[in-house]
Amino acid sequence: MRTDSALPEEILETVLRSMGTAAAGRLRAAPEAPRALALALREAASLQCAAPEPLVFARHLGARLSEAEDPVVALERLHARDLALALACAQGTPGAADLFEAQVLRKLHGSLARLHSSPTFVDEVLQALRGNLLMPRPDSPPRLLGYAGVGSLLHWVNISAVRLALRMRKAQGQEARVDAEMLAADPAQGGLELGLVREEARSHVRAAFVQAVASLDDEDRELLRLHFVEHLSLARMGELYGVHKSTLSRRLSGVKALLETRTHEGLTERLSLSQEELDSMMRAVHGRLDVSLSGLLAAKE
Amino acid sequence: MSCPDENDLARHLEGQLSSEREQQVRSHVAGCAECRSVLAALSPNEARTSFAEVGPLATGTRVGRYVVLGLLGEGGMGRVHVAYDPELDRKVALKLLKPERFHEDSLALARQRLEREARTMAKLSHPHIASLHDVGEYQGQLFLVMEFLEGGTLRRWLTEQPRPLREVLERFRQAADGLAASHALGIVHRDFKPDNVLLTKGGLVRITDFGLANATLVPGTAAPGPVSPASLTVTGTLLGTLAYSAPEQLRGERGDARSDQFSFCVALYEALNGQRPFEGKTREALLEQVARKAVRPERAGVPAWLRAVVRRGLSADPAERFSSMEALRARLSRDPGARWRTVSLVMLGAVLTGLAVFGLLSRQPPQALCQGSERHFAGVWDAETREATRRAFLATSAPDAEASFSAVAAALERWKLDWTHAHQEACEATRVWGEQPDQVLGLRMACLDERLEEVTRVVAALQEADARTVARGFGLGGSLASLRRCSDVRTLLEAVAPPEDPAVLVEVTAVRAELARANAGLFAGHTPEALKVALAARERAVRTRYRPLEAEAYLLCATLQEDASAFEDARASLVQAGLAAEAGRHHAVLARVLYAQAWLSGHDLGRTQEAWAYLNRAQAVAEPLRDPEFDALLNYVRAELFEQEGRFSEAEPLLREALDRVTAKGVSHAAARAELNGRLGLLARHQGRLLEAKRWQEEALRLQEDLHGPDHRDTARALVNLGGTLAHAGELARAEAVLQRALASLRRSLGEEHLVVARTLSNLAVIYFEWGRGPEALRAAEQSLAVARKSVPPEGADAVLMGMTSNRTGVLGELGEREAELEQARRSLAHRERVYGATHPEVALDLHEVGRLLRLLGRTKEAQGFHARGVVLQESLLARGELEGEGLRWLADALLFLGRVEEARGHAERALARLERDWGPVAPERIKALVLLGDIHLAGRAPAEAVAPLRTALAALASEQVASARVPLARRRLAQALRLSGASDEACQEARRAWLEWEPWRKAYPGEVAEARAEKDRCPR
Repeated sequence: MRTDSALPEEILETVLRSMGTAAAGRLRAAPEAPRALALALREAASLQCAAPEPLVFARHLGARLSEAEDPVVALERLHARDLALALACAQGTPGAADLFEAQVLRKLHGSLARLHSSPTFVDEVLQALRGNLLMPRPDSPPRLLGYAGVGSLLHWVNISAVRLALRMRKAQGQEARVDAEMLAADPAQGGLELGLVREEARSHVRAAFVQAVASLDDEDRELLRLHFVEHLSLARMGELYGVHKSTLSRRLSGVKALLETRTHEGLTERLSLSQEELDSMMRAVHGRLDVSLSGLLAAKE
Repeated sequence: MSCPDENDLARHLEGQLSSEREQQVRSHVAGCAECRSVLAALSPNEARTSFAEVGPLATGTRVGRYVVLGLLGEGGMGRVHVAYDPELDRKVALKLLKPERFHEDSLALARQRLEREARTMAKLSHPHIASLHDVGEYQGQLFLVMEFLEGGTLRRWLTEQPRPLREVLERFRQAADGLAASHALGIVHRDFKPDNVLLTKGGLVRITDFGLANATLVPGTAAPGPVSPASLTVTGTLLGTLAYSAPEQLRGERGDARSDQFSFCVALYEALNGQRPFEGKTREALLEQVARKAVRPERAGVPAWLRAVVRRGLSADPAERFSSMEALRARLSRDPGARWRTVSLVMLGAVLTGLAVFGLLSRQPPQALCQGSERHFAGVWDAETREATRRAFLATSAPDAEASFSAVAAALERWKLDWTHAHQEACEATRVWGEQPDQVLGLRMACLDERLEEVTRVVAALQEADARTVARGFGLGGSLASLRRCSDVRTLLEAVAPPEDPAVLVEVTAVRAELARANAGLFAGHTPEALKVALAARERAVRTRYRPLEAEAYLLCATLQEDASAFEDARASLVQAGLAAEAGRHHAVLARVLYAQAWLSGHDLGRTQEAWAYLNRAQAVAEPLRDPEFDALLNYVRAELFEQEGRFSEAEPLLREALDRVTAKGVSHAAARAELNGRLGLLARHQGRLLEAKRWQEEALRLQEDLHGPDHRDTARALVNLGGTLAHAGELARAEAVLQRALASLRRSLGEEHLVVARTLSNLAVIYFEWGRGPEALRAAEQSLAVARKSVPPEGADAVLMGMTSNRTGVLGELGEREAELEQARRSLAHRERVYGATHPEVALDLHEVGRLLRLLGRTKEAQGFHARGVVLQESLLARGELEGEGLRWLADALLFLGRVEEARGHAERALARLERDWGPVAPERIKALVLLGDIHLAGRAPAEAVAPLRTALAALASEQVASARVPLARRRLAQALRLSGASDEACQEARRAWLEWEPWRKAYPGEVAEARAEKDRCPR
């Protein structure tokens, strides 16, 4: 089997030389290291014409491994092909950029589109991201070189991209409104179900709902966004906030109630309907909010 | 700390950080919104709800005959939507099954299996099992249609907030009830878990997805796909199912009813302890833990008896579990807190009981308290007293004595069980678990002793049974004091302080005993005797100057006075009771006084405005008391007030909820159940849903007959209501038989002069009227009015007599005296405008009726005014979708008269469709709509189209042997339509026949008669 093929001594030494002495010592002591390194190099080579030079890759690999808590574990779980791709991109190897575009950037649409309803927003973020990751900086190499092969490259870039997108959103100053639009956009995702509201009132209800979401404070809005737009389960949210999911469940119910009250208030101001008509409309909206919001809560752990 | 970089977050997600660094990252994330959002975007899929694969159905999608309204949630079996069933006009839950849930079988086979299951399930109509309405196929997926429940899943209910033990147990007891019932029919659930237990709005349990695991892939036996390390650990919904599977199911066996027991106990364990009983996330790990009996230790608060029950259900060997679900259920019912508390349907009962100040009666010595609680019932309710009570009941020789005794015995048995467990629990909480101080134990015991004392008096009074006792026995279950208050420590500690002076204390205790005696008399139906006792006790109470006691005494007097129909006296007593309660800060009594005032002013005195004010205050006072049982009573009054104001759609959900509650309580509340069925029938009728009303009323009749036998006045009352509905539905022969039977029975049991007799006669008048038997109709109408005048006091007579007077003048009008009928119609209009408000839907109908009569009298100008007003009113109702069949029919009729033919056609067609759905084929309203449609086609110069509806109308009239003016009315139009569409021979036949049929009605329909003559004269001799 090819997996048993020997690793050229030169490559192994290059890797070890590129590491600090302590890390190199640990790797040298690990019996399974040579096999894992051989595997990593073969994965890197699978990029074919876009693959970096083996010795250059070995140096890069060594440097990244030395940053790990435990180089042996890091090597074992290394995403070697992704690491090679990041290196090739930063070096401008022909063909690498296309692969990066197709296998990484194009897959970010989903998570970025959940942050903003504007169709141009994703493109703006990706444009900024390309500059940010691939262009050499005044006194240091492109940021993409910082990818250490822990987890997939897609994950790593996704982190960068979402962070960038969040900051761009904030800079545009429309955060609250954008979140509200996202929540109102998709009925199935816990937003506003207007199917039962009379045609002429729909735009008012929607506007009142958006206004109500926008009026929430940042934390409340974040809860709604994570749960209903990002679709996180309460358990997962609990991990992020470091609290028990029942606490979050209570907080979410509170926000939901507040949201309904404010939507009602907004409508009262907005429409000069008779009390009776307003009530009947609110019953429809209320029922729907409840069904769509609580339906989701019920669906999860 | 600045945000961790990409590598650190990646390591955090991959679990590659040192524990120290991991801690730093976690605490940073918990405080940094941006990092949370970044990680949220990366969260693995199982942390999300998976809307991915097929996507929920869009609102408005048609699945079979159902219209999707929205997504409800997602479970292991598939996605659930809310949908609308236009045929039955109701919301349903529509579950699309995931295709991968099926074996390689064809869809057709799977569907066959599901349909078989559905048929079996249909046999199982049980309050704790959700009904399955329909099975079908949609784009290659199977779907189930189930009843729509608004309370969410049991899992959600459990995780929303911490729930008290007794509430948790109550829900599981209901679920056990449902499972036991299904096992009795040989149906095994095979996939019981909290996600498959739904709750109604009122919190009642309904188990769903019954036997679905049979029809689809059994989760436990599923091959886990290609073997890879990842698939050995199952996550998400599959784990959700595995974790509840019995070991035999995990091993791939089919399992039996005892497997459901295991699943049930896993769920119950989890609900009690916040985690599942066995560790392990793989099939193998779970099997091993079960085999080793490695149940995780329970939380401290779970009582030992309950731990033992659950652990037995979790035995690896099915033979070591309970012999049946029924046995398990019985063991769970040991807990005292686990029942729905009684809802008393009348103002009676639970009024005085349970309010006394604690600590006045002698207490049991604490030793040996935790065992043999039953012994306290020796001589109170044991085999001997039971037999003595039965003898006393039978000695009254009332026809329903035996049935009444059964209800009484069931109520007392249940109460005894409740009491025994409450007693044991209170004791264990201190002596066994050390959870509560001795002082609290003392309060709880004293409270229980007082309740027992009260019931002792009730049993004694029951042994003096007479006919009144038998009549009242059916309601005893709803009136016995609840024991909930005795375990509500907070209320106990806040209770009103007893008087300090020992002499006063002695007198207070003595007066309370007298009040308890009077209260027991009330329960036994001995109202006048009890009132004497209560009035004397009240005098003594006032002299003690101890205000809480005074409040209790006045309240009891008021209750007795109300029961004796001495409404003004009751009113005065309640005012005094309220003042004393406020002065004595006796909030529990104050809340009940306000409740009684609301009931008295609303139900007895017809002053709804005033009643609302009392009701709102009662609610405010009751709020801090947190007593769900009392809240249910308030809701019942609220429903009553809504009904009186004609707000039927608002009353309906409240009564439905009440019905759910009493149904869950079983035989001791059968009388309340029968009454509620009847009232819901009247509500459905008021809202124009006749066929539904019929079903409610037939059920009510069945229940009353079961309880009281065929000849009892309550059975007769149910007959009267059913007969009225049948009359409106046009089933005249059946209606007449039902009402004649009722009349005979009522005259026997209530005598001639009673309002119900009057109502029955009035309903009979309607039937003869519809039949065209004028003289008989007139006789019945006049008799009805005469009886009513004698039996209603003059001050309340207006409202009661209005309907009967209208019936009489209606009959007279049809015989030619239209002026009198018109005058009465105007009075009726004015009355309804005053009582219901000027925009109520029924006011519009009255306006049109006046218009119709003016037209018949040839006063078309005036008629226009009334119809126009009616139309304006109805158009705003129409815009809100609040116009039902009868209203639409009137609207179309008026529009046709006003010359708006096209609009009239649309409304008439809709009216016809609704009436056919809601009123049935022979309903007079449907026939009127058919004739109207004929008129509209004639007016629109489409005579050929008029033929069919007119023929249908005549066929329907013929099928019930109707000979009223409606027959020639339709036939003359048919003749005209036939003539205009060229069938002149047949036209002439019909014209001549119509002319003859007009004979008895000529005086009342001069215009119509002239037209009929002209039609006839067109024909050759």
